[in-house]
Amino acid sequence: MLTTLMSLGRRLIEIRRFVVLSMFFRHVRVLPLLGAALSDGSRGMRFRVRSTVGSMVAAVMAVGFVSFMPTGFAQQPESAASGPPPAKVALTGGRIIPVVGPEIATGTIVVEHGRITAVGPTDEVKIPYDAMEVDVSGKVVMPGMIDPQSWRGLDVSNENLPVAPFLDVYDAIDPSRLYFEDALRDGVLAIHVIQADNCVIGGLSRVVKPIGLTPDEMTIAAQNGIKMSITPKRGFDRMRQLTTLRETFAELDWYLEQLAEQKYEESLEEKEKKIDVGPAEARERGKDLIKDEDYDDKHANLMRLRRGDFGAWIFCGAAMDVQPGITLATDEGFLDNAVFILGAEAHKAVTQLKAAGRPVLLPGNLYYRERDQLTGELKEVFIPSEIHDAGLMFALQPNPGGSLAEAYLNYQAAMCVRNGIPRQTALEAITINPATMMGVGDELGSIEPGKIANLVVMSGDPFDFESWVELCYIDGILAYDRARDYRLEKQLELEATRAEQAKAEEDATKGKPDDDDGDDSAEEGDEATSEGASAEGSSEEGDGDGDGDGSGESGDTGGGDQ
Amino acid sequence: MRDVEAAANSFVVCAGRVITSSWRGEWDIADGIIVVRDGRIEAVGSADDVDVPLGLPVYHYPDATVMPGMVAACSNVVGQRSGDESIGAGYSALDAFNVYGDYRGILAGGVTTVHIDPGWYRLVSGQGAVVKLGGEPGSRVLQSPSDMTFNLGPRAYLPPDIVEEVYPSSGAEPIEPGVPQRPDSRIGQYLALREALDSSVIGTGEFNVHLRDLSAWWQAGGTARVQVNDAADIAGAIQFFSSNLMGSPVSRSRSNSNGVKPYLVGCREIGDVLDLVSDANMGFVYTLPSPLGQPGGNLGNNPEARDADITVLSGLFEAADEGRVSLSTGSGASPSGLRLAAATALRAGLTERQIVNAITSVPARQLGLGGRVGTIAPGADADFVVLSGAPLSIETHVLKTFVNGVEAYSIDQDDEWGEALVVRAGTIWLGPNNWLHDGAVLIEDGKIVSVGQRVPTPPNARVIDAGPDAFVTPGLIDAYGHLGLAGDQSAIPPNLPLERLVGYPDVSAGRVARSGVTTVLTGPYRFDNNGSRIAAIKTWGGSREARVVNGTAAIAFDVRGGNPRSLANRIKQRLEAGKKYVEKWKKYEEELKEWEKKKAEGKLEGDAKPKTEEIVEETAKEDPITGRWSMRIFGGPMPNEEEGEIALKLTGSSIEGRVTEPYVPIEHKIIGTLDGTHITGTIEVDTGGMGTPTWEAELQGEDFMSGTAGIEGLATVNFEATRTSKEAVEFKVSKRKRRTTGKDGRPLPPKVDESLEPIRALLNKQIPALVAVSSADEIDALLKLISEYELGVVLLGAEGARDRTDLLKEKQVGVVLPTRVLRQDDWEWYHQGDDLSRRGIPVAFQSNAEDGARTLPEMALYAVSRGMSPESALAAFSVDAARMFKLDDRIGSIAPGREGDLVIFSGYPFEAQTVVERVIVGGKEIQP
Repeated sequence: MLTTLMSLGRRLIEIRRFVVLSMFFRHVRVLPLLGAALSDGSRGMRFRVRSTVGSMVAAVMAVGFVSFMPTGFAQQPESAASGPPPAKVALTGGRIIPVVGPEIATGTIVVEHGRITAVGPTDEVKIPYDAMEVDVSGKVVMPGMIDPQSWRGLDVSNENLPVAPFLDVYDAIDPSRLYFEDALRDGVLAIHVIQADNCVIGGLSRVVKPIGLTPDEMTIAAQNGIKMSITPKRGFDRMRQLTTLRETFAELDWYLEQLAEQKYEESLEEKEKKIDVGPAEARERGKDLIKDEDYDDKHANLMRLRRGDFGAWIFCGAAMDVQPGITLATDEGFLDNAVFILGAEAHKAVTQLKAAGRPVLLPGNLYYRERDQLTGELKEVFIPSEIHDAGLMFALQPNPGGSLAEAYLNYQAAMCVRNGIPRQTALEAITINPATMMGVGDELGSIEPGKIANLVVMSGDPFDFESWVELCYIDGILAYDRARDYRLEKQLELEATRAEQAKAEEDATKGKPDDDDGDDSAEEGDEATSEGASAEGSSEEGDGDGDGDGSGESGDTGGGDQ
Repeated sequence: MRDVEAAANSFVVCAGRVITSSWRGEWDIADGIIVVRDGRIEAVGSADDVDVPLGLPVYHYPDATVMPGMVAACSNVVGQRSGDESIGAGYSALDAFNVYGDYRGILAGGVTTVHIDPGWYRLVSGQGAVVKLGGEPGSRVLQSPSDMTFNLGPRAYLPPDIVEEVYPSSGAEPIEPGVPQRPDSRIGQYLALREALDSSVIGTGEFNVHLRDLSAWWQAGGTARVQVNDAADIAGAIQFFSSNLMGSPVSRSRSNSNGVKPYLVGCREIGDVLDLVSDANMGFVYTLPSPLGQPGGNLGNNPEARDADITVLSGLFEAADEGRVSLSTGSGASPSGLRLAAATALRAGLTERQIVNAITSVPARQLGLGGRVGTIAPGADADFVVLSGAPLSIETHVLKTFVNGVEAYSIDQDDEWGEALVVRAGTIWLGPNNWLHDGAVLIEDGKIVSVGQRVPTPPNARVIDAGPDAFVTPGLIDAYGHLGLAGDQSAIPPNLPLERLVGYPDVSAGRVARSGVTTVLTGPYRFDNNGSRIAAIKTWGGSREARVVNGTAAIAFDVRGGNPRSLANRIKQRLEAGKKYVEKWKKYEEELKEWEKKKAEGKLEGDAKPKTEEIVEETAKEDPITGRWSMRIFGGPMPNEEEGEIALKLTGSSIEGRVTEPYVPIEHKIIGTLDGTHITGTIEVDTGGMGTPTWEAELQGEDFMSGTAGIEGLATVNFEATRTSKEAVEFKVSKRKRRTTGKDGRPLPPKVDESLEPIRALLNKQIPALVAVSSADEIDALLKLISEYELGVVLLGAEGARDRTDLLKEKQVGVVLPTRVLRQDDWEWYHQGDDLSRRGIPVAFQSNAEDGARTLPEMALYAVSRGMSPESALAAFSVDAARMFKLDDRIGSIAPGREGDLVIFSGYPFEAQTVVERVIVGGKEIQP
């Protein structure tokens, strides 16, 4: 165990050295690979060899560079980006989907020190003379997509304790999760890491970006919300779940009264006076004497929740959970900060949700199917349509347990468009809406001056399933480049090999010619087309590489690699 | 019903019986009317007392009983709570109730309102609620909390220890072992209750949500729901809860003004403590054992063990007044069985009224909702159940359940069931001198399934209880009428399928149907020389398929007036033609049989490939036919002369051609054969089954022909044509292959000749010939011919039958009586039906009219008045008529497998005051 830790530590040190060095080359495209190195042993080994070579070369260079560095630069704290972001970047020539505001057919985005400073049509935006220009013509630029809730970044998704508002996911985020790498690859540049639904009251959540070696580095915003579940936790029924919720807040009131009484007594003791009033009066007088630090761990976050310091993310797995959730939030005064997370059939309570007027987070499976218990007739509802028709703000989440496609946020949004929801609404549901729900709507979720430069460059329209993520910028730094995504490359190679093998096996089983001549010839025809298709696939990959070269950055990174 | 906009939950119900369960006003109303407005009952009463408001839809349930939606004071709709606390006053059953739930399974049992409790397993299990199982989710909760639930008895003993979760646990704050809870025993439960009440009022210094809620309930003087079964616990509960003091010193000192209102639930052993019951000022909910549908458990050899004894109810109802005892299913059973379980209380000698109240208005009052649910009274919610019969009959089923004036359940929603109808009546006429008294008929999917003193009553069945006076006969048969012809008096050729006239029943069909005539042998007014088809059709039904019994039930000829022998010869000619046609089919059938045999034996290799014969056709260069012909058509039915052009081509001796002028969108090929100067041929065109048009012409000199064209038996036109060009017009490839066998060598059937099809059926003895005859001579000639071919025959009219009775009897030939039934013989008037039936010749009645058939049943009355036996008259309308036309396996009698056609008379059909009350065709009642 110890040795494993030590070797991991060594590996980390090596990698970190490499990262610091590669910062000089402005564009960090190796971060996802670091994640890969950490999480995948065999790949890590290979990478280590490569990085060792790299670090030797880089070390020599570093000695030279460090002496040239301005002192301020060298002394910058190791913030989220682990180094200085490239000062200025301009993405030019692409189609821009800013989400807030109309689309720009051919536009330019200027990023300075990690923030967007200008966005507009190419002929209107002035590019600073010292900005690095990246030509993204023919591509589509959109804000980084946002996963509105995920526990896949945690080591364990739930705590056993039913009421645990004193926990924080900070302690459980595992930066080496492959999930973060996948998120980056899919254009998801902000993730709301929050405890799962198997709780009564869960811990505090956190908004993170999918790069970084420690939770601190990854953090965009901390303590954004607290998970609460109306649907019973495992081993509970609804009576126990709701009684526990009511009890928690009733106990908080009782605690506050006791605390106030105690504070009043203490204040008298300081003045060396004896208690002069009845307990009720003492509680009243002591109320204002309570300071934030007086609350114990168990109650502090509940007080902050009531005060509106962060949102309540209330899970309602069934329609019958919605009204109790709304009632609880109203009674305890945090309805204005509540987000309702809907389960499969919770949309049936759309009337109640509409009355509450709070944003909702839809289940990953956007279709709800139900059989009539008497006739066996299958009824199908497209959930986002129900919510959209009620005029509620909603966010979409991926459905990794569903079909392959449902794991992509842009696919989920495209499904909404296909079912009649306006394109703009669907776009908002994967960008600005989740950002607003997490309380970071003024930082993330759109391409506007002043916002964090989290940008996704796609090969085509995000709702076209033939488009893919080409580049991702986080804080204005190139964080992902498909052309350099070795794992993806290997994966695709592997899949191509598997497909070939499968085909070969199929051919082998079909080796003997069939009795019927006509059918045989038809099969031959099919084979011919499938070969054509695979040839096309490989040429597409080639194109991707070509684009990477064309952007003019590959030279730098190539140097780093060596 | 008026087509006026009305709120969906505003309507009027008319029902055969309405049970109101009301304390004031009538309890049981025959022919009742309920006015529902906006989901509430506005008025209820008998048809004479209540004015039906205009503009509301009216629903008729003439055979149904309507009773209030039942109220289950105990249910398993929400489960047990899972918390460990012995005193769990903070738990609320409502938390576990799904307002969006689909409770049609329970609504199907007629229960609309239920009490939900948090369980039977802790001393204080929590707060109960009263909810509806249907309606808008927002309106389903009637009362919450409705009461605090206490459980006394062994099930509440020995609760688990309570372990407090300490976080973070440490040396200073360790996780302590669990704290034990009360009660362990019967005596301990009262101690635990007193302790809980005292500490809830005084406080313990620790926060406890359950004690807080118990205290709030106590201060407010809430209702105590005490769930007990054992006699000792019942006695204890009555003592503990009946006094306001409850044995607690604190509660004694702080007795509240309202006082706690208790009611007991369960009460299995209440028979042992009845003396306490009469003095106790509280309600009782007796939970019924539910043995229906599942076998009981073993009691073993323990002499103390005993089954729940429902007869204690007689004592309980005596000890407590009626309004204090309600009945319910047990906490573990679904309330859907409430009505049946309650019906078993009849064994305890309770009345229908006591039992119905005990599952409707009494529990509603106990739960604090009296006047709102559980009763059909002005101001109450429109929650009611439509039952197929008496509320406590085992054979009764719930047809519909309404909640807040909206249909929440209907048996029709259940796709699994088809249509079913049960008709009960004092007398059912199964056949001559075969009467079934107090019988019933079950019709499923249009066919009679069961007949007898008792028949099964499927859950979906509509039940018509016609009463002890009612007399049910099979649907009446009109042996010769014209329903559907709509005044068309022409003779109809034998190739015309008559059933195409039949569609959705029109006004005249409805008139005939309502008179009791359910089947008409419909045929043309005049018969074609080549015979006409007679179709057996129902007078009612939703579609053509449902209405046509047999499209060709007979082929009809007319041999009246003229030389009887020559007329009979004409039939003979047709029969000979038919014979050849039958031969063709026989040959084909034999070939097919042979082929199938070979195929089964696997000897088909040689014949497996389809056989074809090649027809080679040469194109002639110059001939008397090829070219364009300008032609003139005239005569026949054509009002004006028409002109046109055709193009013909001669190949060998066969001619092929097209009409080129005027342009006809549907291509039709002219085909013919040249034989010298005579041309015969056909025109290939789809005439919708009317037959193939033929043409015939004679070449007269060069380039001129004249002849006729037309459809046999329908119309013929003359034409003349002159050749204008000798140029050949190419139409198509003239070489073709014709298949003589099917793909796998299967022999192909011969071409169907619609005009000979009825003759084929006749010769195959599938249908009879209906022959209009009059004189004895005609009967002689006809029967001679018929016996030659051994065919079935029915005589139509046969006025001279009296003189040939022996012959007719010998040949067992039936007679359709003439419309003028009274005949004179030697100045003696006699009724032909009476005369023939008495001599053993089967007879049937005809209307010889379209909707004139509606008065046909009157003719039976007249026949009986003229001496005909009533049984023969009924047989003439049913079984005899059906047998004549070989339809007796489908209609004409009441027996399993026959069509569900019934006529319900108000009494014996041959009494002057008797009327036709209801008519059922194919298992569906004809709406008045």
